[in-house]
Amino acid sequence: MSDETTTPQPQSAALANDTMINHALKNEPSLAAEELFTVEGHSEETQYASFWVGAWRRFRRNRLAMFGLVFATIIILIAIFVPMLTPYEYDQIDMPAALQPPSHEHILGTDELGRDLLTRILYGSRPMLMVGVLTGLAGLCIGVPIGVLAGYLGGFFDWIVTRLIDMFSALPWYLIVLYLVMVLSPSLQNLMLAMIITGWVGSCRMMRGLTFSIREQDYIEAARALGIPTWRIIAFHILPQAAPLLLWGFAAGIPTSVFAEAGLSFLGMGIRPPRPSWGQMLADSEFYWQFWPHMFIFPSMMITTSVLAFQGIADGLRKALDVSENI
Amino acid sequence: MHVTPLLQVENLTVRFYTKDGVVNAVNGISYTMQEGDILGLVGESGSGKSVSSMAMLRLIPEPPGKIESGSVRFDGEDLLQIKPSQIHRVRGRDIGVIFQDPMTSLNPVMPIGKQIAEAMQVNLGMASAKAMLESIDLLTRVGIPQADRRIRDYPHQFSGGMRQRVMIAMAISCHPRLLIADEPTTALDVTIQAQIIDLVKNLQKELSMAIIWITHDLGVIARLAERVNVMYGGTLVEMAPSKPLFSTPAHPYTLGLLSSLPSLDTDSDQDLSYINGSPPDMIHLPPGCPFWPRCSFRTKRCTQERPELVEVAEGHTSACWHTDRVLELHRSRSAEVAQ
Amino acid sequence: MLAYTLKRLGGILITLLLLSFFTFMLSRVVPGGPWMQGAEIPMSDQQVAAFKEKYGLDEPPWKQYLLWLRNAAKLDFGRTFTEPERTVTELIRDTLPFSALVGGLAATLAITFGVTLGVIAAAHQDTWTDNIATSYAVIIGTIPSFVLGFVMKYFLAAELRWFPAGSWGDPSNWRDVAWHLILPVVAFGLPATGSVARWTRQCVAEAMSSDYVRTAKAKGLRNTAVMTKHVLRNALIPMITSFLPLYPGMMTGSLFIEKVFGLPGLGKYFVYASTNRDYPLVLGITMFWAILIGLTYFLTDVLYGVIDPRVRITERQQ
Repeated sequence: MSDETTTPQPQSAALANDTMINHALKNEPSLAAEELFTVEGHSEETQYASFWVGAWRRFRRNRLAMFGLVFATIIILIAIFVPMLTPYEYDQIDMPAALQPPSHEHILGTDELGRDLLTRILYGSRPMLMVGVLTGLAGLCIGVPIGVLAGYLGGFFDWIVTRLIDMFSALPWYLIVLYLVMVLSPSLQNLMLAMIITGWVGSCRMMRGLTFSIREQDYIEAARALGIPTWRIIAFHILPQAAPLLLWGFAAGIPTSVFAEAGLSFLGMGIRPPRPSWGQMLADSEFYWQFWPHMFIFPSMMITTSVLAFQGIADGLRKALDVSENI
Repeated sequence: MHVTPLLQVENLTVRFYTKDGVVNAVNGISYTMQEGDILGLVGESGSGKSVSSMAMLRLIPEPPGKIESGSVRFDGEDLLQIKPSQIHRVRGRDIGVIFQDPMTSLNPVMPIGKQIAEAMQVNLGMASAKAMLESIDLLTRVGIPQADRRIRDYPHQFSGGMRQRVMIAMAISCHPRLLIADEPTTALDVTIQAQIIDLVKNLQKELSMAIIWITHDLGVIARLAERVNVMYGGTLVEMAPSKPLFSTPAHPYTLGLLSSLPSLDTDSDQDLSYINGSPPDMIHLPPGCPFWPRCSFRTKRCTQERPELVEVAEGHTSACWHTDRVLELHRSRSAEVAQ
Repeated sequence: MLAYTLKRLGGILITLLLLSFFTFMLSRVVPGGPWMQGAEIPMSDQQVAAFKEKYGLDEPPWKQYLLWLRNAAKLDFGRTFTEPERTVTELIRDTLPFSALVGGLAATLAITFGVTLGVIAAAHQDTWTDNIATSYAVIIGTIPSFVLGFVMKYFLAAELRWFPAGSWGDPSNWRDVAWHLILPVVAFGLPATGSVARWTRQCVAEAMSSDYVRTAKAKGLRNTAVMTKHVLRNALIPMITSFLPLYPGMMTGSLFIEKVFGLPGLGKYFVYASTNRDYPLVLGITMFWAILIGLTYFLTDVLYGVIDPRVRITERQQ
């Protein structure tokens, strides 16, 4: 039987336990160390995917988001390859063929000047994307650096930035855009300029808030104590954390910009004719909508679907990246 | 004479169905309590101690949680079988609860007097004016000065210890027969801890309530509990009266817990003892005894068969295939220390 | 509390001042006016000169600004370019009620409907009801109001002839007005329901998962009581502060809907003024809106301080 008479000199209680126990168990069938790992139920290392891979997987499961992505891709391709997709020009006037409902020659019909509706719809994707995507990008390029600097440096610079943010928040953004477009006279470029001028505020505010909260963390203080220069701290410690938030912010701005372009063009303050824009086409149908509904139905559908698609992408990103909106 | 136990838990099993897998939070625990018993429920985070108690009152969120099987008889009535609408009868009135974090556990926009009165209005049908008067009385009883003025205050106007007293006042307001205290002192300073424990002890004597005190702190148990249930991996591994648990632990986990407590006798040169390994993955629990991956006494049998609770002494049970070794080891170690 | 209020008020004033300065300067610095080509009222050079003199446009910009500011403080925004018989203030006064009514009703619709939807969704979290409600909120929230207006106008007014297709109706007969307003208000308010519902759901869901709700249940309260006395009371705080700004927001944002339905509101004049570079009018309306919005934010801040006891009551000395 087991021999339990031992006189150990315990250096530590744990060691003592093991020594005595192992001795005690000498004659008892016990498990060899190797056997342990083949026993079921002993959990192996769980593999965790990287953050971005995980985010993509979550995004992929979201049906609306995927729909948005597919739609966005299609629209971008359309915008690029429009001339090859249609035999007509967008300003090709053909009075005898005016106000025709959908037919063989004109798949979506014609407007009051005989211009092919499908062509104009397809060309309308260009201003929509330019305003939607490019202004968002430009807004980021301006807003992010200003926001980060304001948040990190504080002081007078921050005070000015805050006043600017307040000023731009005093009015609904579309009113400011409207005002700017009015002053500058309506055109695609001016609309984009106006959107950029109002758009940088959003990402600026977001980055400023984020920088504030990160700045207080201990590891930033540690970095400073180590003598790491400010620009490195910003580039390697603050910005990487902001990446998901910025991506979502950019995506979330697109549906707003699409709405802006459509809305302002609808009011006559956006894209000027003859270059087509869906909002403008909606406004053009003012006298004809009752008897020639195709003139407003198709632009309406495009506007709504685009906003929905990009909103879906933005929402999907928000859930996939797990972004909290209230900074 | 056979007295109906106040609380009889039998084979309670609770699982959580999450997207990462099924969490086996509680795996078939059974125990009994009589009127006025003070029971300490000890275990580390994730051992199932809180879940098992919350399950009694059906306070487990039903998706994703599910009470798979078992019965919880309070005064003979199985709380898990009664209609959901009937559980409100028991909550607050027969069984009261104190939670861990009093800051978040109190409604921040309601005056505390109203919160205490609410319990009495709902459970005892008391008129609001009378309930407020009772609240003042209760606050004084739990040791809050100027109670008549403070009933109008909001939770954020109290310190942590005070808030916990408010919670206690709320829990005992309807004279429950059983009080479940879910780690009420974990978030408090050590000195306040002692005050709260003493307060509860006194209240227990006054109201002759039974108490289930859930904690991971053995020191608290030593101060308060008459009986102790030790949980690990969702199972009850040892049940004993307080003194025998400390003097003659019969389960390797309990032994490990006690050994890891530094005492005044410990030589400063000695390394602190600890239990090898990490807490179990509740989604992938090993077969057999849940403790075997960390147990120094393990044998092949432990990995295959889950031990039942067996009696090792009067009123003292342990779920281990090698209780004799544990007791033996402890005996010889104590003998050495005595030398 | 008083200091806090005054500080906020001061901040708003500074913002308004800055805003007025920039907008004014912008309009003076960039060349152009109602006399430009393409404007509705073509003028000869002589007329342009006389026009400029009359409106003081030949003075240096900063002088113009100070003059304007002095008048603005008295709420006198001058006379419009395009309708010199009317002062800006008069015009605002005459047209504001229309926008306010449409915007106000739409905001009320959005809040009533949206909150109900959000509460239902939160109460039935992660069930089919929740999914349907949230999907509805997402989809309806992304349809631009003017698009919805157009579609409704076509189907419900032109085709089915259930509602009139536009205009205000007879102002003396409130029933007629109400009839005319149904389509615009619904088209304007319905999309806003989306964001209201989602925010409500978030606030309520967060309140529902908090510890004090667990305590309330443990005390023996029934689910409805928990909902009304604990969940909603806490959820209402962040909700109100988000929903109050909807009112000025929609009152000022009604310009799209006004165009679709031909309603004589302030927005319509704003667009009209913008197209014609009618600076006094545009400036006047802009400043008026800014004041309205600023006041609402201020009110919201004060309200928040009142309803949240954590802000209202400071820690008493123990």
